[in-house]
Amino acid sequence: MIAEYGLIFLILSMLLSAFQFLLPLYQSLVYPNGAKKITISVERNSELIFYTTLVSYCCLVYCFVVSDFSLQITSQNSNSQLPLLYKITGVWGNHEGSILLWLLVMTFFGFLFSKHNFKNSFLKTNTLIVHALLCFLISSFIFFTSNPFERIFPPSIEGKDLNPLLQDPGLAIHPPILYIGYVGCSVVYSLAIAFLFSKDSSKEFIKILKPWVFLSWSFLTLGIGLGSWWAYYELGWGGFWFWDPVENASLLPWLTSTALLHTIIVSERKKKLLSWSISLSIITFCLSLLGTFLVRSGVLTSVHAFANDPSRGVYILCLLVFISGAGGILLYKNLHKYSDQNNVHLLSREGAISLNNIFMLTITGTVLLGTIYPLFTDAFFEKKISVGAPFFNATISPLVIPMVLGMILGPLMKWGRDDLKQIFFRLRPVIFINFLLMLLVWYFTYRGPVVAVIFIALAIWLATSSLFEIYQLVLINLKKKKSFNIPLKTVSQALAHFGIAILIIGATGTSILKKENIQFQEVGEVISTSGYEVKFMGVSKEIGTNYKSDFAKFELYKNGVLVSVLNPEKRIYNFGKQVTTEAAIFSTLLGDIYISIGDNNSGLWTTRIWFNPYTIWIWLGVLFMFIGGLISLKRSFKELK
Amino acid sequence: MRLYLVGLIFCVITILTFIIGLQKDPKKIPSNLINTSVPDFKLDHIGNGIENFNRTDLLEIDDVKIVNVFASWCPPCKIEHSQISKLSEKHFIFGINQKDKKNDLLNWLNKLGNPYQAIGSDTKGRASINWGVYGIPETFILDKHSKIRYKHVGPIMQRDLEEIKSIIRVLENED
Repeated sequence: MIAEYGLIFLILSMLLSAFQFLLPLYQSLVYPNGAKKITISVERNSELIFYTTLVSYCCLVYCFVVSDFSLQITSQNSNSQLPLLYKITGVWGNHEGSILLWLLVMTFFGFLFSKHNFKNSFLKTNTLIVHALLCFLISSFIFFTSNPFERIFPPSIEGKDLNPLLQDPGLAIHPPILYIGYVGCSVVYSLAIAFLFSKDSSKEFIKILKPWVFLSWSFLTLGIGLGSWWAYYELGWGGFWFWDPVENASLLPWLTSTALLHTIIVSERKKKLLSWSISLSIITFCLSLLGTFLVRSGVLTSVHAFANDPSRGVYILCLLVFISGAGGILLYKNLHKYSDQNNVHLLSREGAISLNNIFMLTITGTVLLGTIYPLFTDAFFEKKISVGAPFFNATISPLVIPMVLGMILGPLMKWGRDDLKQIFFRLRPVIFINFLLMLLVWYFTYRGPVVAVIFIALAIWLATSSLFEIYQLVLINLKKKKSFNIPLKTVSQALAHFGIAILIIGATGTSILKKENIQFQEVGEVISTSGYEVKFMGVSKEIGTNYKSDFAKFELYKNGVLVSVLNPEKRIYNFGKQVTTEAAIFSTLLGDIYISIGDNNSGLWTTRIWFNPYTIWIWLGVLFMFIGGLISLKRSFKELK
Repeated sequence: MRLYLVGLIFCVITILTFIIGLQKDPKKIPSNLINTSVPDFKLDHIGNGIENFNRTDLLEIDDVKIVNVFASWCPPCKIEHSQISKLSEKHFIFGINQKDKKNDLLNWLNKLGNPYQAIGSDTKGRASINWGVYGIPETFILDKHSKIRYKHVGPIMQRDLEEIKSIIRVLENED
């Protein structure tokens, strides 16, 4: 019965959101002069949409928790033996449930926005109307093509189990966080569309837009970071980024929203680049929808693709065409109003930001092209090709170099117009420190690949210049001898840039400097790699709650001293008999020892032992960026009040 | 204006791509190399006699040949080894040894026997890329003119043996 309640509330939510955008539409058609208006409180209605979706979602969670296998979704994706945590996370471990979660987050954002206090009621109402339209499109998608409350007859006695790869705490939080990021873009989109309809001043619009951009950017960053972390330790492939189409799809909106949060700052301070800000707001959401389309329609295979159904693909494609088409036409009609008359000078803060945005969008275009190109050749030339890491590494790393240079110099330039001599004068201490650091980098890595040396040097330069910014602020404050007051704006920016710097170091280490050993290893045999000795102690059989496992034991020595015992596993799950490899990782700041085991071959085991330098810095970098984003978020909310 | 037009054309092509893409099954991956001549490669030879194993070695033999990509660290390769040995009784079999250590390989061959006419050592996996190999073991059947005519992905099991033999028979009867 509970499942039927869930469906009823889903339909209610769909009708309420339809009501919210149809009523104003009807009124504006019938009473163009605005007379005789029945007013509904869109704020209230947005709350209701959220509550009904929440109830519907809770019903689905309930069905998973009590293991109601008369539902199609639970019988396919859950099991009575599953630990409670994975019963709950199993709700979004499948197509239907995860789209319902998407809707829940989306309506929650509508709810949040309705609570967002600002004076411009016209903009607020219109934003909520556009947002309700988006909610309606998603809820009707769920209702018509992917109903999670579908019953099966006869009901199953036992469920088929959740995909073992998804039975992991990392996956429990990765999708909701990523969805907050993706769906946050929907508010940004709605705001931009509502603004294009209005004749308001841009100043207030940018102020209202800002916190939402920071919110979605921060969570997008964290979500992508968590996904990459999960792939690193769970998939056992020894890397952190595989240029999988779905990873690319999540990277695309991240890149454009990164560009967006930079143009917003320029638009706010200098009233320039407004047309950029509006276009990027719209493009970002369209790209997150494109990502959803690529994952859910079955046009390509990927770790993320669930069982596919072409009718869903067609629906999402229509959705994508409609939403980006509407945005595109509105942009085309109105954008000329916001184009700048005054030029941006290259040697200035806004110049550096614009230049970096151009690089950022070039990367976006390259990733987009690389992701879609295999589909294109297949569709038009019947030719299967795959575009993978070699293409992306070759095309994107050269673009990263000038971008990092921009990140180093940009924050130290003045707004408006700067002078090369003055920049040099201001930067003398940093340049000197960097020169010394470069010598150190060269000394330690002079035998390594040149690319790695370049990237590490650049990253260190970026890190020092970010720290230098904070140092300068502290210095100014010390001179004033008044109350200590460091502008949060600079801190958040420096933190995020510092995060990028250490992320580059981590990524360079893990992808270019890693050492890989694959071999047959006998029990007792020692493999030496990068100053560590890895001794294989054998494999035992263990039984987990819903799986059996080959539980290996490795002793890790450094200079003859035991530093750690590592237990990589190979699990076979009871239902579905799927095999997963659980890598064991020993992390230090200088690098990870990463071990995974393969098959047994008459007493010999295939073992893979990696040494991945600086990997942990990737996640640290993501964390720094996230914190930087949160600080900006808090600040921009405060500014509004 | 022109910028919008370029954008529009890009969008239309993308949408068309998606519409056509939706009607296809992404899981089917054919080999691009079927009916093409052997790709160019040159590898150090493992074992006695000749120094290297390369494309011309295959071209010189005007009979049906089998090229098997394998490694000692790959358990499915061990599973298919007895089938490979059976095939080697009547046919030419060449090996491309992927990302292996020489000693591991020699031990492996000592233990299981060496069915190969020649083995090229592809330590970096470059030659495997030229052959379009994406997972080992993979086995190619070449006709008398050294064109690739058939590709088998995964270990050759007992049940695959008949099919492979019949393909070889057809190729042997060609000119």
